[in-house]
Amino acid sequence: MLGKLLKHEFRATARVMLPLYLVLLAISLCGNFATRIMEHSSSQLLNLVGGLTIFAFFVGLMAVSLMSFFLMISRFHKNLLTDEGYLMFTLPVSVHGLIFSKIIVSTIWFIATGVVDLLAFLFLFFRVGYVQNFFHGLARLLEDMTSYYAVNFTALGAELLVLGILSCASLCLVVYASAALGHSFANHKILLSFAFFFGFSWISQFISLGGILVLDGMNFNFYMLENLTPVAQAHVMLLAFIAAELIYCAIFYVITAVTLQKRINLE
Amino acid sequence: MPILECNGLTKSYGHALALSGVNLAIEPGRIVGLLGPNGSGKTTLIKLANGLLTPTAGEILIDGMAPCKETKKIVSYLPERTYLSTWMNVTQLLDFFCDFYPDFRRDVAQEMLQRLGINERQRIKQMSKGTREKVQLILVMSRSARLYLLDEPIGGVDPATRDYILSTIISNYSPDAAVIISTHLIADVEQVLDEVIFINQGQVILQSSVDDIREKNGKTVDALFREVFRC
Repeated sequence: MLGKLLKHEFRATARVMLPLYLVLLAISLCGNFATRIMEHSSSQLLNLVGGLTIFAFFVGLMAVSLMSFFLMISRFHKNLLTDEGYLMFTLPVSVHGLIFSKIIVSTIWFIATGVVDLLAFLFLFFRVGYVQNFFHGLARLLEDMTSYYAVNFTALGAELLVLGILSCASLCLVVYASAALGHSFANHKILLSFAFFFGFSWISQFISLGGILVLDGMNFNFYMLENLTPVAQAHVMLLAFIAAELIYCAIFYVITAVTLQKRINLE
Repeated sequence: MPILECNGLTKSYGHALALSGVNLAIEPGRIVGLLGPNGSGKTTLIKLANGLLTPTAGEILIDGMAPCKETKKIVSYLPERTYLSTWMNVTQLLDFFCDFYPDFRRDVAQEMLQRLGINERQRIKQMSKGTREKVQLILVMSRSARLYLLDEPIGGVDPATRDYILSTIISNYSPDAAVIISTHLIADVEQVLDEVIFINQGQVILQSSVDDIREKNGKTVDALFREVFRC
């Protein structure tokens, strides 16, 4: 059933995100033409239009990123915590399926938004020379780092990808846990959801900082790390971040699932 | 085996008791009216049967099972609210129900939609409240479920539509299924009921067949209800 939930979640969100992506890419193409015109024209009007197009590009860039975030929140809230919840919670699917479908689809949109933002930048600055230089420079950088530091980019890339996906999932889960808890009360549901979100964020930061201070106070000198090469240190640190994100995700997943199963009372 | 059974079912919201020690059993093949004044606990009972709430004490069983994924396969629920996503059109809703409910009969739903002149391409947000309710009822009654839980199905519609809804309910449920209709508009539903449950302040005060009420009390269900719940 997860596949069917994913299908309908994509259907519900793609109708918002795909047109936005198209608009952003179209603006970035216009921006590309605008910069070319601005380079060769002394007309104030053309320069003004070009400037406005570039401005629209950055507004579009922000709008797409913000929309992927707000869509993640609104889909969870509207689809599960308001009237639509009467349908979703009476489907023959588990609460876990409902939560996972939301996390997976939101994470995919976050990643897609990053890719489209990058594409939009490439469209904006597209000059054969610029793009070639960019990729050439990137390849040189990777080559140099491989030969100098003996970096295994496949492993590093995989770790960064996992960390990125887990970061997106943890962002979703802290929002879901806050919204679910806020809506488990009879009144002031939205206000309480915000309060839980800020509370959770504050506690997470407090624990992270507190953990570092405690380790420092215990004279934990990171001996193991000091004996490692810089690349190995980077791997250890990334794996530690991945483990921390996994714990963070697990905690907020349990809060979300238990609250939705036991405490939610749809109005 | 009863399709719905409650044993000492209790539900409280904080200090407020919504249901208190409810015991009842409903057999398949019956159309049952769950009748009571506003705030008597009808919706709470139906939400508990759907797993939308968890009991504070006691148990509620659907075909012998506590509400879970398996019971949701055999229960078709019409809440008192419109739960349809307003951005969807009717075709998308039919796809949705086909995907999640193996017992959904698309052809039956399409026939009913056609009879009511509802365009499948129309979005829910473009429909009137009454039309939305009709679409929702059609979707719910087009399933071959074992238990239909209909919460105020005729609350907000005109008399002609009420007749249509009631005839839809009668003509679409199979003899091995039970239908529970929660309402306080008793005169309108009385004609289709086999059995009634009177509920007040979270307690079942009467469970009887409609024929028994007429024979023993010499009254209609509506008249008995007015007598029992006189303010």
